[in-house]
Amino acid sequence: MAGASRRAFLKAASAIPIGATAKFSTTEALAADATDHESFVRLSLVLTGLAESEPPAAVEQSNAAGVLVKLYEIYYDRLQSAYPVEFRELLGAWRAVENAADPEAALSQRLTVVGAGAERLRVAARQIVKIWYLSTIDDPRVPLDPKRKGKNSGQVGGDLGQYAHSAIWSLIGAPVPGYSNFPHGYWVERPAPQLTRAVPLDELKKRQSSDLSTLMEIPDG
Amino acid sequence: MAEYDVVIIGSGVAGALCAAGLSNRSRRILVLEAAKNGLGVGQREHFRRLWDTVPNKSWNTPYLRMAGIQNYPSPGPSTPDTKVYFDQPDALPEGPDKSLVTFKGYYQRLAGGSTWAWRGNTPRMMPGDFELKSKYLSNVPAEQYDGANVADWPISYDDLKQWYLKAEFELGVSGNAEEWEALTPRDGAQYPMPGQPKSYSDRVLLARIGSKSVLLDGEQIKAEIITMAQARNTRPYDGRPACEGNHNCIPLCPTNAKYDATVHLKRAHQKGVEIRTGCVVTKLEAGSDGTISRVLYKQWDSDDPQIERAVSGKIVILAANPIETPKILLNSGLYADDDPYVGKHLMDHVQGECLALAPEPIYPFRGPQTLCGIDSLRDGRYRAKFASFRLTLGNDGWGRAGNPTSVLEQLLNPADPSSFLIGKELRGTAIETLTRLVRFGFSTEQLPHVENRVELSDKLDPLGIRRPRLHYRVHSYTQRALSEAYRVSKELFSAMGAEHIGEEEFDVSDWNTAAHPMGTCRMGTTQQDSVVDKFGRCHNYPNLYIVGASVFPTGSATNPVLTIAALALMTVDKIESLN
Repeated sequence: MAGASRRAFLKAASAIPIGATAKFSTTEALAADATDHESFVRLSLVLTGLAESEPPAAVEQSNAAGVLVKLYEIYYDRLQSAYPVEFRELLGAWRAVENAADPEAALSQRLTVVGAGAERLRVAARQIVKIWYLSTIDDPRVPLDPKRKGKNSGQVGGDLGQYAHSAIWSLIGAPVPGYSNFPHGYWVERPAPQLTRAVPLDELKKRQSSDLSTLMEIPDG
Repeated sequence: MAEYDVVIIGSGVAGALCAAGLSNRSRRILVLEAAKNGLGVGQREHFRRLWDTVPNKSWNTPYLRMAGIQNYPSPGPSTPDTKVYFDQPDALPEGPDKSLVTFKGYYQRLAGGSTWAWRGNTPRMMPGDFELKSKYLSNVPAEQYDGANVADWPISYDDLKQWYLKAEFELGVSGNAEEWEALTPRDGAQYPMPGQPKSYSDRVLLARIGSKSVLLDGEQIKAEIITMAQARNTRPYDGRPACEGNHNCIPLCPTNAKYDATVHLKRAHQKGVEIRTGCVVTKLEAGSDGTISRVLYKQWDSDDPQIERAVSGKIVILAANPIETPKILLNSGLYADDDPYVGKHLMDHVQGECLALAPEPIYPFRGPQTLCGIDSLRDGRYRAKFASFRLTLGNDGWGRAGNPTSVLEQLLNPADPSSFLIGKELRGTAIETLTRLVRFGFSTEQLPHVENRVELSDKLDPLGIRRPRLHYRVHSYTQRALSEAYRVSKELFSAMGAEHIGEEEFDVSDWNTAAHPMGTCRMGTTQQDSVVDKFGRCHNYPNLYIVGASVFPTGSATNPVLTIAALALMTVDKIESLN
């Protein structure tokens, strides 16, 4: 990224109040400048299947220079550093399809081709999903064992605080392990579709006394 | 040389309870601990931050970067070819039955011991567990149980009952007395706290399975899912909060709602007990009067770690664990290498898992990692033919076999383009899979065999202390229990309408450890049949006591911590009565 455009991007991104929104700022802060970050943000949404409101995009952390930057910038840098070739190729492939009528289908088609080039794209796509869902990526020094069907024993984590924003847990209605902040006994209840807040204690006590038939009638919504 | 009234070696749950129980202002007590870690909130938060940033999240993740840990290595859950602490000559990588001759257990060398990283399950042993030999095996050909050297405990359930109750209050156990009365009689005594609320998944599966009996060697036994008794608060207790369901019991409860031995170490410290960390005990020395006169240790954080330092204690309590305790005794030359009991009869709980997909989303990963289990199957006539077992209904997906990371990684296999998912399809599949994961974990009894043992290796640790050499095998009596437990688990899943995932038969080489080392210094009535008496007092050295799971004559299928605690409290009471 050129220095000027990066500064413009940072300035725009920093205008978002911390914690004020959980949305990617695709339409406001980033729309004016088609940077790599913008592409990365849109690509992340397509790959992960997360809605705009779901990733912890408003989270900020200090980078090595002490500048507060958005989590997506940190993730971009982590991926660029660990998988420079694969990541650039995937961003390039994404730019070629992102304006298609159905970008997800178009990208999926590119990703499911047999061959070394497409496999490099899949490697990068996997890291993008993992970093948003789990905050970890595969250790690029550890090749995947074909016998393990995609499972990997080598992981690279992020700095303090990134793990607590791993998105997969809220999708399945669970707290990030170690970061509950919910009241005792919250687990008796089926989770709301998005576990975004604690169940009030009074409500919880009421639910604990309910029998299972009542419990199972509670709709998803 | 510093002289103490009591020197305690090791600060896990047994050592900590002894320290707290014996402490008073007029008694000089020293605890020697190999590790050097704090006991307070700051240490806990530090461990949590390590967990946060370390990518490979395992049972010991927070503790891998302990200061000086290279000087007091702690065994990791690894295969023999990568194991760096245990010397296991039988477990060669190329061996045909490598898995069955590998000791997979481990423990944590920390102030507070392995209770930093445990699930908190605290059932009592059942009455029949104390008399396995006479009740089930006395009229059975020895080959049916692989010639194990089984002995009844020198105490009965009734003897230990009051100490179990006291231990439940010391540790802060939550449980529902009515669910346990028939299995482990309580004479109506309540737990200090009510049991944990069952999880949504437990309740769904309980409703689906109803009341079902299973056939074990011709005997119908009801398989009742009940709330585990757990040393985990359901209300504020002993200055610790109620569990918030962090789902992180192993490796670390971030709030201390779950008991760990730091509770009693801190209590002991406040009552004047000296806790000296960074001290790895090398030997005990016996004086001419036949008592233990000196405890030798190396202090790795001192200017010269190789110097052996010494303290003396009128009473010495060896509270290391079933590997380190016999290692110290043998290294001391207090017992011959071929002593029939010291170091012999090493046991673990041999585990397996049965996996399934629930018929509807049940939302695991919410609340403690375990809430319910089936303990009614632990005792029965079948124990003449195969080992006791208990089932845990996991609240943690597929546990070691399936979690968000492994599920996502399988959906994103770069080498398999045909099943590579992205976008809404990926998201939907991940949610659909992860919210339906359910497992039974089964934990089986392992009998005491003389050949399963701890010896001294010729290989040295960094302080020049001989490392433990282990010989170990999982025998057919236990293997049969693994197969039976798997069969029962499948039957229960079928009754729930869950889809079993996996092989039809259990592959016994696929067992895992509960990390519950037991045995190696068994209790009994005389020095002809044991190392210590029922109070943990050594037959040969009257001022030496051994506490912890080392003294278990048999291991049952019961999580050992409550029994360790009850026995330690009994030892404390005995010492007090003699003084």
